[in-house]
Amino acid sequence: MSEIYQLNNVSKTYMVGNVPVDALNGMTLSLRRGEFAALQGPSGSGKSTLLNVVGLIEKPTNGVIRFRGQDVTQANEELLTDLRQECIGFIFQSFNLIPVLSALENVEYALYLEQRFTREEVRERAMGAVQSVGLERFASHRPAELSGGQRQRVAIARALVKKPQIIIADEPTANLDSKTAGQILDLMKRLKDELHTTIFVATHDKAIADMAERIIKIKDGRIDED
Amino acid sequence: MNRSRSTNARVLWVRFLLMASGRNLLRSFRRTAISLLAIASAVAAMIVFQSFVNGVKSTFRHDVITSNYGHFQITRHGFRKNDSDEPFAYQISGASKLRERIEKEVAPLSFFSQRQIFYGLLNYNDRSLGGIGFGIEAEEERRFLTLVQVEQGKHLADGGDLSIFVGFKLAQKLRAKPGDMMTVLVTTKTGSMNALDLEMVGTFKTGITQLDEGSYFIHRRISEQLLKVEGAPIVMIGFKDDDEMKYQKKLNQVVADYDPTLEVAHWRQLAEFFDNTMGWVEKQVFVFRIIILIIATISIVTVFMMGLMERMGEFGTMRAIGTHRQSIAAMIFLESILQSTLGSLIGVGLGMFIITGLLTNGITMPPPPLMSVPFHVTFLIPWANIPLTLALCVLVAGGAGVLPAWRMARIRIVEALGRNV
Repeated sequence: MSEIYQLNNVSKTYMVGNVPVDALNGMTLSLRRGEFAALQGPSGSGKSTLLNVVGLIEKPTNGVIRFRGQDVTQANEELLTDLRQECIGFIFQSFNLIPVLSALENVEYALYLEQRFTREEVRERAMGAVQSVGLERFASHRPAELSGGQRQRVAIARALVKKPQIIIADEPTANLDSKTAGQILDLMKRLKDELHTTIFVATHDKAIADMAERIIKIKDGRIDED
Repeated sequence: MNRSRSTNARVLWVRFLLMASGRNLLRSFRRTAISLLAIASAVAAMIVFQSFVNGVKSTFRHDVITSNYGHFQITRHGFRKNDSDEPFAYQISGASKLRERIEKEVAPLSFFSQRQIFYGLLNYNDRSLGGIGFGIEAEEERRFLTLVQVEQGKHLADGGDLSIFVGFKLAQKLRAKPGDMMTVLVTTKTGSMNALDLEMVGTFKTGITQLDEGSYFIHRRISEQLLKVEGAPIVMIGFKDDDEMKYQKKLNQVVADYDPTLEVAHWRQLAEFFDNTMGWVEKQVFVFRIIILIIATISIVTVFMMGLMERMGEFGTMRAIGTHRQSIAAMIFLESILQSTLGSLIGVGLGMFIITGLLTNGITMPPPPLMSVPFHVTFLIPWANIPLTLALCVLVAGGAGVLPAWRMARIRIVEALGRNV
């Protein structure tokens, strides 16, 4: 398996008032294509910061990030946005759907963003993604009309519809009951197997860790165990 | 990807943004209603104010024309500059031919009258006061110069040849009443003094202080005898069509062709106070408009920003999943434009309703500068100004979205994502 991400000696320091706080502390890490990696660590260990850096929504203070072999450490905002749009899928703990859009439209949004599909292509692909997460009956429902599990399925469909090279998930089952969480995990695993997408998920959920091919444990902004 | 496919995809994206913007407006009805109300109130206020200015202008214009000026006045070149030095050197005789030519070549007239103007001393009992005398064609002036109202007694047109019609304040100062005899003492063309006993048939009131306090009218043919002149220096005309400006160019040509020593003056050239007064009113309205726009803009930005702050988490999500900053800004700006357009249209309707429903009877204003009687203003719908007001408000209220759009487009994604609960 080839590497999709390489983080070399990456640090991230935040200023809390006048006090510098190191969230990541010289972290070196590689993620391979098609692997399912779980990220674990206590609260404040730097999990979310690492996800943000890998997701290209936060730039590191020091170090180098290579995405598909390209150094993106100092890439401008335009390029980073394009990479997020085309290559990275996000699944958030709070689902983060757009409330004024229906389930189907939330999925379509990811495709309209790319501005390269016709109306019919958008509708067809989005409907396919909604069907793949078993929500075709709820396609026209707004997020407020869906259960937590259904919302997370929509979020997964939104992340997968553009066939990303990596999906970054932050505690995707934290707000779900165990049965629904199990369904979501099965779904992620199935889609990962079908699409060979890298899945990088921060979790406290043992079920996810059991399913992962690789577990990365971090502590104080450093890799503790891999 | 070919060019047309790329364009179509972009159009689809814009349509999608527009749809999302529209739904976002409906999302918080109360907040949108407040913004719409702020915009609509600003537009309505500006329309009502403009209708007020139009009403003032129209009434004031009518009053000035029908008080003492007509639409145009024709005099000999130099009369207005030198009339005090050589008051009788600019007489115009045989003006009836000029009337025929104007009616034939320019437009039908509703008023054509010659006027003599002179300075004379009025004496009643033991009181003498100076005043501006006018030798007028009384019947003609009564029909057109309707602002000259009989205050006591009767109009000069209803009196005999040896009658005088005096400004009511001047009559008060003389303590004269209709039926009293008074003497007019003038300097004639030859420089000698001449006097004539006249019966004061009535007093008039125009509302123009200068006329009411210091002028009087006698028949023009009597003024010719009194002053020992022929004709009169001023020809006043009024067109049947009140939109007199469209005749000005042709009138100038016809008058110059009739007699090159004659010149035409529009009433606004003669009544400079009209433009001064209107300029004063319009400046006030301009300042008022700026204040309204500033208040409305601050209200809209505040309410709009509150709504956007609540949606910050959404913008963070959008940015995280690959929405460019300019798309976020465009979506917010579209919301702002949609809102301002809708609010402005409601404002036009509201303004119309206020003008036609609540202010139908107009309002009575205190006397304007140089006038002494209250002034009734009818509100006139400012049709010509509505598109401009609408465009201005859409632009300003829409523009109020620029700052929030810029701010939201530049949010820190991580910080914004933290707002999602």
